[in-house]
Amino acid sequence: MTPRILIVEDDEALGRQLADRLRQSGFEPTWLRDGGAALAVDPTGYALVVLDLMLPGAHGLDVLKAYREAAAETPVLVLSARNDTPSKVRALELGADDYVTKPFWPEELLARVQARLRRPSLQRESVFERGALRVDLDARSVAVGGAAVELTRAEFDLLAALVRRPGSAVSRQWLVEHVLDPDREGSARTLDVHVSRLRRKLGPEGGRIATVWGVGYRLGP
Amino acid sequence: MRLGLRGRLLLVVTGAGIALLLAVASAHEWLASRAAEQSLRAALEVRVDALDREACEAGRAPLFGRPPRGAGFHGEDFPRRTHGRRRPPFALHAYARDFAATSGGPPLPDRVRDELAAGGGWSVAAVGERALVGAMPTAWNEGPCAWVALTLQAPPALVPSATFGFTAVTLLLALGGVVALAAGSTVGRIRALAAEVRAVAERRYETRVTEHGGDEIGELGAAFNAAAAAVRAHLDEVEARERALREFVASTTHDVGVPLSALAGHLSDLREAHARGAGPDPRTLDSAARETHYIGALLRNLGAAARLEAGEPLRDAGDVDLGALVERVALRHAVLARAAGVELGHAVPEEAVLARGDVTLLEQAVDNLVHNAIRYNRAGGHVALVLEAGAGRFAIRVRDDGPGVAESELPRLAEPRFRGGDARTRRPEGSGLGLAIANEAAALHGFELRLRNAGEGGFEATLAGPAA
Repeated sequence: MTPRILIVEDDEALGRQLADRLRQSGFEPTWLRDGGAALAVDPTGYALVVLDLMLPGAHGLDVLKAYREAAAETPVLVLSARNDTPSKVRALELGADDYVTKPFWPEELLARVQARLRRPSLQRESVFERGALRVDLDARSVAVGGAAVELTRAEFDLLAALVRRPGSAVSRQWLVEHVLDPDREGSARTLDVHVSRLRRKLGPEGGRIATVWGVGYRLGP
Repeated sequence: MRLGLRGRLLLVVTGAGIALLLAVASAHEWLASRAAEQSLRAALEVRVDALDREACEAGRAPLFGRPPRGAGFHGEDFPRRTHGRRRPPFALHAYARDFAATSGGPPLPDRVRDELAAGGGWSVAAVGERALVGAMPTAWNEGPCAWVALTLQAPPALVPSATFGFTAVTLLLALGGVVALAAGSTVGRIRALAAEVRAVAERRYETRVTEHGGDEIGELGAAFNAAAAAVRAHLDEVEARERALREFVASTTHDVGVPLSALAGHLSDLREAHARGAGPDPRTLDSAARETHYIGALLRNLGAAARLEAGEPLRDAGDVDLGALVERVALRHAVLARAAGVELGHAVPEEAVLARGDVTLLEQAVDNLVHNAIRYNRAGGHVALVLEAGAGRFAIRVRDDGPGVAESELPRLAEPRFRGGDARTRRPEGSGLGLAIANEAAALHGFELRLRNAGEGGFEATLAGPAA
């Protein structure tokens, strides 16, 4: 089902751009230009609300309050030209889930919307599958194309750390501290050795483990 | 009606003077009537001692007349003549035990009768307005001469004398004159001070009033000078701020104008290309994106600079989720990195990392570090943004593989260049406003901003501090 998104933005150009961009990205946007109109809308039918604060008709914070009372679960992403901490704190106190300050790039807003709808971002299920790779976190078993792969403890923990957050890079420092045994092998150099062994053992799926320059490693798509 | 200081003083002195005079007059009257009573008693005692019972009972003399000589009574103090008739100053009369007059004397006042009957050896009371009557028992206290009484005509001191009135008025006038004279000099000094104060205010508090005299008026002048100095300092500060603001607006207009012109140029190029039927040049699009990003960053930095320059303490501190902050900064710079052909990678720990601080300022600091790393890199370069935490501390590291910074430039990098006029001139080769703001924000939080050339080339900036 296409997620419905409510946009409350009085600026014609910005509102149209947002609506177009969200539609292109597979959402079904509804665009309101006025605070009064926004107050008359029931927010429960929407997956997310993008709310400008400076609106004609009613202030965005009043709309936010009304939406919070009507639909406690619907995430509200506040758009504001005010880039100061008290404004952010106030919006978050009234129940906003995120705060984007103008000027912003459409990509930035889109990513924030997607992130909000995708939560939680951590891998919750015990079994992770991508391509021919299958990782069972509870059973501590790995298979590529159905064939079991034997990994050392460190190699499995390394892979598990990447699998828990697919698409996000994990820093070398974090991996060294949380995956390697500090007494025996706790150095950045050993980490690279572990990664190259892991890649080799995973065969064709080993390429999914991408090196991120200056950061660490990431499990790619 | 408005009363001057002089008028008020006169009014007060007159009121107080009249009250004082009335008090003195009434004290004088009381003393005089006490003296008359004493005289009367002494006169009566002398006569009672010398009284012969038979003569008294027979209504014979010496019921009247002067007391014996040397009896210690100064009868001469009292006038001999009242109401134009010559009468003896004292008239002694006898009364029976039941207070019936036996020698033709006037009836005794009730108070006198009561006091005598109650066993008081002496009693005195006023009769009408102008006479006193004193009475006491005789030695035998029976028969027709059981009591004797003596009447004294009005003592003179009960009536205020003309001399007394004259003295009082003179005294009052003299007092008023002295007060007026003393107040006159004070009033003159206060008026002079008021005129000086007005003159100082007209000269915008740049001069001082003269502080002469060690008294309260001198103190007033000193206090005014202190207040004027404070006002002057405040005015100087406001004027300096105003000047700085004007310069700030002027150079900001310039700073925003430059990238806006570049952006306008790019749009114009794209339009012309479109008119020629050519597709948009990706390089023009990327440049436009960079200019737009630059304008956005500039606006955010100006906001941050205004707050940092106000020198306010960290008012809006809260627990800042540094992981979310790093994610936002990475997201914000994704477009710029793509336009610049730079690969931007980032990582945050699985567990939340919090720090106590102002989220807007901290985010701006990290924003600037990342922005610089992308802007001064080359196409095909890399930027890494990593949040690390451990041992109660956090570190946000921004590394790049760009050209780095000349070692001699390093110490000057984070100098607060945004103060003063030449703050935000666009320097493609320099770091401009961003690093200075990052540095100030770090200092305000008590965090550390380390800038160094990375060992293997490139530049590394690290913002580090205690985790919350």
